[in-house]
Amino acid sequence: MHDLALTAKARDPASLAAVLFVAACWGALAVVSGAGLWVLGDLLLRGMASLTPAFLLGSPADGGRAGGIWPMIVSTAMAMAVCVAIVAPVGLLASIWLSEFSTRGGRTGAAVRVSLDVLAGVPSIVFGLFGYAFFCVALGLGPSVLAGGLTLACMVLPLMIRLSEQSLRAVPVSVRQAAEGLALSRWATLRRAVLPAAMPGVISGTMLSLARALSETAALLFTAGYVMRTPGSLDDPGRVLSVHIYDLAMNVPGGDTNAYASALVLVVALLLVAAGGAALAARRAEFRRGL
Amino acid sequence: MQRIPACCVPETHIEIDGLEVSYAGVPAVRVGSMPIYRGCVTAIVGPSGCGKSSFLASINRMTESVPGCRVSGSVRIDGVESGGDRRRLRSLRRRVGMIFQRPNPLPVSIAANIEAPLKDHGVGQKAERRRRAEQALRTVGLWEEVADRLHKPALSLSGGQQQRLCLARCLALEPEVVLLDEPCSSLDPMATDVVEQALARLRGRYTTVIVTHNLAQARRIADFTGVFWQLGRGREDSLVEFGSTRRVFETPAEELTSMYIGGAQG
Repeated sequence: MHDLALTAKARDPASLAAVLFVAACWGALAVVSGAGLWVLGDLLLRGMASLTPAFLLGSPADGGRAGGIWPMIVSTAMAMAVCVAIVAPVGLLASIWLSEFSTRGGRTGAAVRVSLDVLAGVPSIVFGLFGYAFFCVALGLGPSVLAGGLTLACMVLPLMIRLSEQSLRAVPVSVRQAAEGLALSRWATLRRAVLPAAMPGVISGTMLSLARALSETAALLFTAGYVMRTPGSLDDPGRVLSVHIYDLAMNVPGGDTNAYASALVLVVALLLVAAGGAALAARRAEFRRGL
Repeated sequence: MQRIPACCVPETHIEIDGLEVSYAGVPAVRVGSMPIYRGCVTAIVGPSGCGKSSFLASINRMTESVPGCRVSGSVRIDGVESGGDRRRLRSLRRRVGMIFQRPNPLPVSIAANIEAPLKDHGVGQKAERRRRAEQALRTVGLWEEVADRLHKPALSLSGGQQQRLCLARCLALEPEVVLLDEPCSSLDPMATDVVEQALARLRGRYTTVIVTHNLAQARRIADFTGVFWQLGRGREDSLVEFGSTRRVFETPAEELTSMYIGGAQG
């Protein structure tokens, strides 16, 4: 009986379309994950051999062809720290303003949203130029990891704000209704009802923005600097990993092997950011499961 | 626990007078006059869409946050007109707590669900908040079940436990009135029974108004019952009949009432 029904279904032209549709979905998945796996496999194949503790902790030599990448790891970490220190609080507060305080359907909120969407689409090299003109020259920071981190923050803030605004708006009405029924103040509603419900999404948004910043090259070329020394402070220039990879691949003949190894380090860092974000979000999500 | 027998002379706590709730200009419920007695359980029954929930929401002004909703007429609590600015609304909702159709614990821990609202309403001492939380949890019969996991997510509780937590959260704020909007509609019969036991403990201490689809439930727990019906087709007042639950169920004065009760029973 069961088998009969299945064969009858398979001959139906409508279910042929369904089969093709499902096949197309699987195909798309295969293309996407295949491309990702190819990149990862290529990096592993060519970079794994050079990935030694000496490479990670050593200083570069011979224009980067030899030696390690410790100064770049430090520069990257410092620029990221500056970036996240700005993006997390400013982004969260701005998204709270957008979702909770701007008047529904009001003009200011709409104008801010459109501007953010436009900014999110601006090419990163433009942010690089802006960062150079504003942070390096106008504010006199010069090329430094501080200026680089600030430029990155400007670049990813629009994305972070919009993502976290969406999580705040997606908080179920029942949560707000509960707060209203308890006559909670605006602050308590935010602190105890809306934010706990939105937090996993806000964290994911922050991590996505950080990942975007981590893989950025163009915005940092002019702002963070190019030198291969380890920055002693935020005021010092430094070369981040992505710039290092770019330089090795484009300007340094014979730098390929170290470029691959550096790219592998960058990808691992990206995975760590993603995994860390997921773990953090999952811990917060425990309290909103079932909402 | 003090328990006022349903037969004693009832004292009006809330007075409804010419109340009308409308959505986008269409009246949803209209009640000429109805008393709600102090310390008693009043059930509101009637078919779906007759405006029971709107009526309930107008008592603590939850209607105000619904776009397009307008309330006219008067709701007096202890003779004082309800409503006003944000500050008065806050004190009104603290005095008149509400339990919703679906349990809606906040996405925080069990303890924080009760203690955070207390803190927000000015109960400054942590020990006092603890004490009140425990007391409220005991009143709803949840203390034994959650005492060892107060810091676990409230949403990890079962539906019935969540609803009792919401009730405890409401009671911890020491309201005078508790409004319940079909509090058991999403619960199974066992959980319903436990919630009803908790509700029974409120009698005499709080004025309780419960909207329910379940006539047997109204009969079990309510001292007074109001039967509502849809407006329209010549019906100008949503309230068909109001009286002691016993009287309404045993000797209904209106044909609609006996039809509704009879239909629902048969």
